[in-house]
Amino acid sequence: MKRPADDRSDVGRARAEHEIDEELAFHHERTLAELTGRGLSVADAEAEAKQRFGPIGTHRERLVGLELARQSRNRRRSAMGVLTTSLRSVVRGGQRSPGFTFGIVAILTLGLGVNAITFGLVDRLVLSGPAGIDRPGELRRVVAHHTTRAGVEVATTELGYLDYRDLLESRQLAGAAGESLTALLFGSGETAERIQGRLVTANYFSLLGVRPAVGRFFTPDESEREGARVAVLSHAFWQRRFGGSPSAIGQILPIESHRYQVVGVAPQYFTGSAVARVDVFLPLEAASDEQIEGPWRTARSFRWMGAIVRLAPGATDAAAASEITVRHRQAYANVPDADPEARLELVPLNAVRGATVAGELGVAALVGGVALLVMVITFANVANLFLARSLRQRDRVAVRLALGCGRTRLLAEQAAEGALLALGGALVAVLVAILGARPVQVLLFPDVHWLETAINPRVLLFLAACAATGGALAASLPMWQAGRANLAVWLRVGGQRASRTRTQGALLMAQGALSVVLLVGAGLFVRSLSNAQSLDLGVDTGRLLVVSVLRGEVPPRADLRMALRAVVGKIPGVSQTTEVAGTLPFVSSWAVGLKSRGSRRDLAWMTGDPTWRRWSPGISRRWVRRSSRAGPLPRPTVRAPPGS
Amino acid sequence: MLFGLLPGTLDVLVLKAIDSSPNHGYGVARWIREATDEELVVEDGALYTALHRLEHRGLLLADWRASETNRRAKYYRLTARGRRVLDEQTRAWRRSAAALSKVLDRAPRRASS
Repeated sequence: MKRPADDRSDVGRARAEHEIDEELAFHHERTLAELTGRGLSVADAEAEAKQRFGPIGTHRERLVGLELARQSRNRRRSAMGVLTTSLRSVVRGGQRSPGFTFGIVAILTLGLGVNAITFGLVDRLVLSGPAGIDRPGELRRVVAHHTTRAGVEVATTELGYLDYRDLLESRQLAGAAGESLTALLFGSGETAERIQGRLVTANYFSLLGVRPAVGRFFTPDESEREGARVAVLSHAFWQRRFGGSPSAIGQILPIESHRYQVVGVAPQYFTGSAVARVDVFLPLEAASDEQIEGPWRTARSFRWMGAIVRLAPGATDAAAASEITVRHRQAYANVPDADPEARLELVPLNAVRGATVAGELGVAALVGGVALLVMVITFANVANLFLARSLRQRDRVAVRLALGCGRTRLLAEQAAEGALLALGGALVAVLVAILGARPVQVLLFPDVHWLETAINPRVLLFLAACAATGGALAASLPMWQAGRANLAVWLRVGGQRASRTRTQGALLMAQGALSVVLLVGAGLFVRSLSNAQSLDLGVDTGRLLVVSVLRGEVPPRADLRMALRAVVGKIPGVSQTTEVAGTLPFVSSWAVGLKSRGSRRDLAWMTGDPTWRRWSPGISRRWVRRSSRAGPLPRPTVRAPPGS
Repeated sequence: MLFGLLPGTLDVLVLKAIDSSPNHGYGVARWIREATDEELVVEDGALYTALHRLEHRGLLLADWRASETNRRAKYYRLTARGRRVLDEQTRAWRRSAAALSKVLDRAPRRASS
């Protein structure tokens, strides 16, 4: 297929050949006239002219080459001329009307700064993806699709341990590894803190092609139940807790109720297969014994971990997905209530559809959309300012046009001036982004591992492209108007105060409309937030506190919850206590989703079957009640805790 | 008797040919032939190459206009830089020619025994 550059090159060559042929034809014609004028026959004159000229093919080719070089140089000179004129215009404009220049740069700084921050977010969450992985294009995340008994289609990245083991048998895959992100208690007593742990199978690091920064990763035997309890620190955690000292290797970390020995440090920025913050990597099999109660190794009903696979050489997504789906269906053939039509899908690491990150992508898309609107309004503002200025200066434009300056040249100069001003605004916008990115990142995505700087070459390129394109378009709009102008009228009215043009009116209307969209969007967001806060969940949350039990080094005991309840009940001001499995209302990943319909804030089940929660008999009826306005919210099953 | 060109002389000839007024390629070729009484042989193709090369170097400027026969022709004229180069080259050639003449006019020295 021909590229546009090839077409341009062909056109340039054709033009050069035409010029040379025309010049040589004139020469030939005059030479023949001269020679025949001296009495030579036409044939003799042709022969003489041919001899005088020399090898025509060689000379012509050389001349075409020189002509092409000249055209290319002229284009460069013309572009430089436009740039120089525009630079001069920017400098002169800054001196003559600093308010105009400052206004444009300030508007662009704001608009482009917001966009730089937003693009930085989208880049980290969607485009760049997790850092430090070798050949990430070959890696896939496994997504399971199945239909629940209630007929709801579910797509989830949560698989069971046996599902992961099945993947290891696939011939279409070069390898598979399991992972699970979980919050862990690090330390004990008052100095204890919550850290983010990624539980990974021993082959996880080799599958992702990662080398340790210090020490080593896990060995296969360390993944087993009775294996050593070992830990690999993330680079950031290593720097924060150990100051980057190699002596961290071999140290003992109290995590949950066990002690883990540090064996290595992951490379800088590496957070596994996703961008979520990670402090420590633990062997999945060893750590899961503590994290998950129940026969997770043998029962297919335990689904809590994700799987990452690498395609075998030559394998395709479709072939691999088909093979693992067949194995998956065979494995679940005898499992009660299993969906016989369930299928497994392979998706790229960045196209995350897991429940844990879909929200982040949604927020990123929303913020991106708002930023785009802000950018459009910004450039509409800039175009309006240029339009207003061009009306004041139309006599000057008319004089230049009358003197023979081409409209294309004027358009190019104006576009270059706009682009230069926008690039100036973009430079300041970079500073705004450097200063403003971190608070936005922490506010919107507190669990993501953000890099030190929000500005990378891709963000800079995006910013420069937006600035140059938007600035050029906005600034050249007035010249588009000049193209339709009556020069005589322009010369006559000159710089007299002009009434608002139709283009200005349209721009103002567009700005107004977009601003209304933004305002309405913001209003709806606030209203949704208010609705969510005042949602009647059938639970009276007034003066209700939730106490999470962090077991830490406390040895497991059957009556732990009862004992803790007794302790909490004795705290002054506590009138009643109860025990719940999970927290209220939506924290557990097994909890059912709810959505609010309209202004009546009715509740309806969104997906899945209603889940049960475990309450102790002492729960107050005042806490849990059926809302008079609520939909089919089921009464919680009241059960006695085990052993009570 | 016909002479070939000494290396480096074609550019000076071309610059000199359009020193007084703009001219097209055919005019330059004819001027050189007439100025040298047709004793200097310059291939027309090489002449055009020189014209384009000098234009590319910024010593000449060209534009299309109607010729004396009312046909569109490409006319070349000297730029300020081209004029400067012509002056320098002329002085250099004059010095070289004078030096060469001195050598050629000098009587042969007798070999010492």
